[in-house]
Amino acid sequence: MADVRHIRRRRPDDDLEAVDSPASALRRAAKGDEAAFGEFYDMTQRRIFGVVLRVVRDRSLAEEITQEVYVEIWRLAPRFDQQRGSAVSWATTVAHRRAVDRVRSEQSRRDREDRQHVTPVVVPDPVGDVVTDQLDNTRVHSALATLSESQREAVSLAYFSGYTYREVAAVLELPEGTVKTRIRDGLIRLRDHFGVTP
Amino acid sequence: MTNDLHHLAAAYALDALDDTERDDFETHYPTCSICSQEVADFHVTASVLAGSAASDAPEHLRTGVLTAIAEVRQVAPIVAPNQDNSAVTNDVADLARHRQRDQRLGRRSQWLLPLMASAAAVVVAVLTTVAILDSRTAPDSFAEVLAAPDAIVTTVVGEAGALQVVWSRDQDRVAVFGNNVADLDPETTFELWFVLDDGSVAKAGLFQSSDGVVRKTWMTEDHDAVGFGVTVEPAGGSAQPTSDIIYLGDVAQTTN
Ligand SMILES: [Zn+2]
Repeated sequence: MADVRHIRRRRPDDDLEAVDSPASALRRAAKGDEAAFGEFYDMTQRRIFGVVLRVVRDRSLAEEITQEVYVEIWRLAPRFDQQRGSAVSWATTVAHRRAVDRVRSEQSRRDREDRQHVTPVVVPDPVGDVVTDQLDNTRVHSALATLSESQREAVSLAYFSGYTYREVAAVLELPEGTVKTRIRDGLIRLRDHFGVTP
Repeated sequence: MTNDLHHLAAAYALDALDDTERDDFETHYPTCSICSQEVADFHVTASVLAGSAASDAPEHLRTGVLTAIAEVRQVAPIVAPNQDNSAVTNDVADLARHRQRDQRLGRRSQWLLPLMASAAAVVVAVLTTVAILDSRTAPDSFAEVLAAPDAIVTTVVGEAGALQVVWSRDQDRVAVFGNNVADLDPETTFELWFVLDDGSVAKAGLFQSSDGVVRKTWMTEDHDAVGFGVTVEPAGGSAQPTSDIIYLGDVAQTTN
């Protein structure tokens, strides 16, 4: 249960500059520093692996995709402009998209639907089975609480199931325009709640 | 048509567009300041949502990744002619063109240029005041807390980057440091909070940045914290947060 990997002890003689943010680690990695990329990995792997796993719902596929994602991030790191975006957000975006693309490209739609029917199709609570990330949970819970039930449902289905909004509309038996609006209104509320303003 | 496109940023950021709409939108938004801002913001929002699904990757994956990258050549950086906002838009459009070309060549890049559009015109610091708010702060205590056998380093992440919080319960000491922190105006201060198991918070102390740099350590009360958060409070600090949490991170679980 306990995980010692995340405990980083620093010695007094460590260079303080070495202890830094994902952005800084990525910046050093962009110059070919593989150890710095290892730091970046350590700081982001829970979020990256977690979201990929949530979307693909298969551990070995999630591992494969996560590795591809990090290799891609490594490759493209020199083009990532730290001044213009969050490194974590960038990495998450790359990961989520790759997971969604994989799920869609593999002909596993049928399987996935079957699996998802085991649990309710509608997943209004994207954080339910995660107990380890209490902080994010707390934050996301309180943010999700500001959404209407129908917005929450639409956002969760779209993001964590990898459905297109059209598929979400089909699942919920609602007009596409309605779902599109719910996703948009829901995300605007979350954005405002998280205080995401540059 | 174009009107329609303007409303797709949210679905796009959740990867909830089908291929055709995605391609259309990726052609549109780099040229549209409203959409590119929304895409950037919504990507950040989505990444916070992603955090709620966080789950440790298996140990062997780290080795796999580091082994793999050793064989992968990195792309050359794009040299931006200047740093003003028009250049930002141009860069994105440029990148989008690259991407489209890649696609035509059948090398569909998974990379999302879009992110560049945006998010963070880093808040430029205006004024700096380093307030020595705690008389127990001493230069050497940094080294001490870092060297504490029970020290746990927590990375707290926010839109403006990240800070590291080093916490030693044995020493009842906390150290905070960061290198890319937007300085506050003198009427306000950063306040660090212990995040407790039930979601409530407890005061952990105050700190400031100077030219983006934070180096501060101080004595704290003992709490069963599961995380740390940072808010901006009026000078002198607050008993409870009065503003949104701008940095947040969870404390790694320790073996006992
Ligand atoms: Zn637009």
